[in-house]
Amino acid sequence: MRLPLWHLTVASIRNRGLATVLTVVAIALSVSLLLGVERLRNDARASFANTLSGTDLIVGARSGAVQLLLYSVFHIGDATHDVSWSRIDALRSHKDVAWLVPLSLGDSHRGFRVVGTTADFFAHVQTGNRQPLRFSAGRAFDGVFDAVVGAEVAASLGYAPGAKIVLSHGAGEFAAAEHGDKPFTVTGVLARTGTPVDRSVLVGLAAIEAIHLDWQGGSRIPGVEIPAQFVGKFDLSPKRVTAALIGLERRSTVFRVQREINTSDGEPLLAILPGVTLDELWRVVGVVERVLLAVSAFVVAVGLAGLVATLVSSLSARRRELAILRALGAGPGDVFVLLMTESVLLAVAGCVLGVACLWALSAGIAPWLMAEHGVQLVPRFVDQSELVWLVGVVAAALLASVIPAWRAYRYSLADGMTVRM
Amino acid sequence: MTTRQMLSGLCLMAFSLGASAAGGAHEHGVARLSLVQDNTTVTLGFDSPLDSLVGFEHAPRTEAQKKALTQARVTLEGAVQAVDLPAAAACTRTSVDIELPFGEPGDKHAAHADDHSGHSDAEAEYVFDCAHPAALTQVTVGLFKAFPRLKRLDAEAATAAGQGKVVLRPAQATWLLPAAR
Repeated sequence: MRLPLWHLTVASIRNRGLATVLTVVAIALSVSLLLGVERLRNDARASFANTLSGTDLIVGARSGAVQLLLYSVFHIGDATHDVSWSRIDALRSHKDVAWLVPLSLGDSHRGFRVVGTTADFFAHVQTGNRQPLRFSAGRAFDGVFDAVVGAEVAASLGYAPGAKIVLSHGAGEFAAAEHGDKPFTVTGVLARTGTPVDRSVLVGLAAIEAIHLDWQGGSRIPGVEIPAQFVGKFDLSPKRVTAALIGLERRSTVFRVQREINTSDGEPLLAILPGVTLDELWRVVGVVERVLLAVSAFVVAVGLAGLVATLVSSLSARRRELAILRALGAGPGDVFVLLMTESVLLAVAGCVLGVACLWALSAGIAPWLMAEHGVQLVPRFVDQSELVWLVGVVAAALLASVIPAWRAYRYSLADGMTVRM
Repeated sequence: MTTRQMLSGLCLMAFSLGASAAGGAHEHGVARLSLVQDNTTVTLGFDSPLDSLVGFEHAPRTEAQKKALTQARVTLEGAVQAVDLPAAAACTRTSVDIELPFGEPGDKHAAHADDHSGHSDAEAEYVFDCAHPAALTQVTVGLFKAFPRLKRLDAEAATAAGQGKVVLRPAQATWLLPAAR
């Protein structure tokens, strides 16, 4: 007679309810951590890669390539130096340059970065797979005190075309540094892109000059106040910008133009290929990612060790049960399979719970991640690479459960019904 | 610590890496490879310290050194040995331009040695015409086999699919282009 092993498995798991549930929860948490780290890594990479497309070169003051990429495109960190307008103007008329979009950073609006640029920004900046920017409402800025806001700015502050906003100097921590005398009017709202553009306030370069007319060295010049209606009397042509995005006439000249800019005399400039520099960044971040992955793999190992420990410690309490099974006709092999099935079942349950946990968690934090860090977490149950990890976890559980299964096998051979507990 | 702070920290770590991209840093054993695809035209550039190719950076003094220099030129001229494009892309070589210092008298590219730094560089440029540029997914780089002193290649690409950089080493000499990653 064959014993219905799966029935016994379920019954014996049910018999040790709390310990089993805790073991499954431990495995579930470790699996969510492992998959979560992996998922965050992949989605962060995809988000970063989708931030800018169609731009051949980024030019800024000579510093680190990664630093230039981070502050100009991702609004992370600050520029150590800026570039004089004459150099940017010269680059614009370079024979290989098709278009140039200057960027002037350094001001903010209620925690969102203000980007001074030209209307070319809306024509040439592309995200994702060559997706141009679109307006969900209104139009590009035209007058000096016009502003276009990104989708996230509009959504979180409730702006629509016509709204009046005040920009702040620097990161906006001090109310005293507000450009309150020169309010801006929102003329347009950009459609959501999933990039830092969503969290930007875009104004013309002349606006950046205008709000700093009565400022010097980061603070207001005492006693000098130039009302908004008079700024037109001043020279509002840009003097310095932070960086510039460049599109070339022909892609084939990209390395030559890069070298030309990087080895040019005079004001030291740095030109980078955004995609190339992003890969350089990933090479550095890759070390940290591997450490994180190793740590979460260890956590999974700890979870599985807990599973083995639970099973092993339950074995001594189950020696009589196993002896009865043997007396009823189960072979030592059946006892081995029973234990293996139990632990694999628990590992699979842990994985399923872990995936569900991760799904709920990622659905919960996705909006915050998007708003705060511009990382688009795509909610999904499992994808192919994650499935490989899950199979790995179950395989590891299978391997680890050989220990309790083998002990049970030995007991069932050695013990009689008279075992003393 | 927020992600933002972490990334700023990482960007400091990346300074050393980024520096090499800025210009032609001369580091023995390390060379640069670049690939640009513009419609059907594919341009491959190779830029290496002469030492990585032949083991010296001065005017050849012995017969062996002269021979090494000639051999390096021959190897670089045979583009298939140096860089092999996938057959599916149906590429034909339209031009090759090798610039080696200390060339034969009368060589128009002869004067490339930098006397001030005592360093000299070798450059090669291959232009291909590829009928199916979309099939251009990888480049098999034979430069490590041809030049054993070469230990690392910083390979940068700009194609219709995007830009990217990989670091190639003798054990890992297949360059996956941005489309294939």
